[in-house]
Amino acid sequence: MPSFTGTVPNLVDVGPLIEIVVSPSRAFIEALRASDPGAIVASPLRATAMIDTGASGTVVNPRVVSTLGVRPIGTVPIHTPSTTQPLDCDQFNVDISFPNAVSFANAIVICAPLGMQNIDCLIGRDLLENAVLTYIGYINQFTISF
Amino acid sequence: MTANKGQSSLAAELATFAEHRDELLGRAKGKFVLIKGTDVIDVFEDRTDALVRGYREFGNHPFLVKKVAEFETPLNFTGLRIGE
Repeated sequence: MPSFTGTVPNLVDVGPLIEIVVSPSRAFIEALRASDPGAIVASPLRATAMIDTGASGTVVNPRVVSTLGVRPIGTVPIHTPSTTQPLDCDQFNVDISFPNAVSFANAIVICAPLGMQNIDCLIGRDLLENAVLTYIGYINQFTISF
Repeated sequence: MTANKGQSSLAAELATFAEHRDELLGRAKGKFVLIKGTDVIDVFEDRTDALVRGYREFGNHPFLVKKVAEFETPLNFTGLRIGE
């Protein structure tokens, strides 16, 4: 089972952060190149992600979407603490790779601003559903295994 | 568009979905429908198949792939604040 262990100075303040790679989905690249072999596709983007068990879906910030040049492929209603009724939010299709060589092809993510936290992505329970997450607060360490 | 706007950039496709919803529920419940503008392109067993068809037909332009279901469960985010 591939694993990745992260250690941060203060897990309470920083949270479980990992460096991931986000790229246009394989399905998108293959389809685009089938119709135009010379089509230019954005390079994979390194991004800082927080593992967020409070998120039922995975989120990327607008910088990721604009850098990758991907377009919406769906919508989903979302609830947050600041919404009084569900909001329709655009979905995007990307590939996500973790440091432990685990990749999620054709992941469906939403795009939302993530504030001033220098976080590009929230890894939600949709990607965590097959993972084991170990959070050892007293030594500021966490491990994620797939 | 992003979530802070509270509006989808696929408004035309969502309107088309709403217009065809009952008919789609009758013939394609649980499947995934591909919609572009006012056109219902096709339905698929698998979301990825619908995405591939959408990319082949429309390239890198917005389109809607949506599961045909009576109810859609919202995603929940306890730490994400939208529209403030």
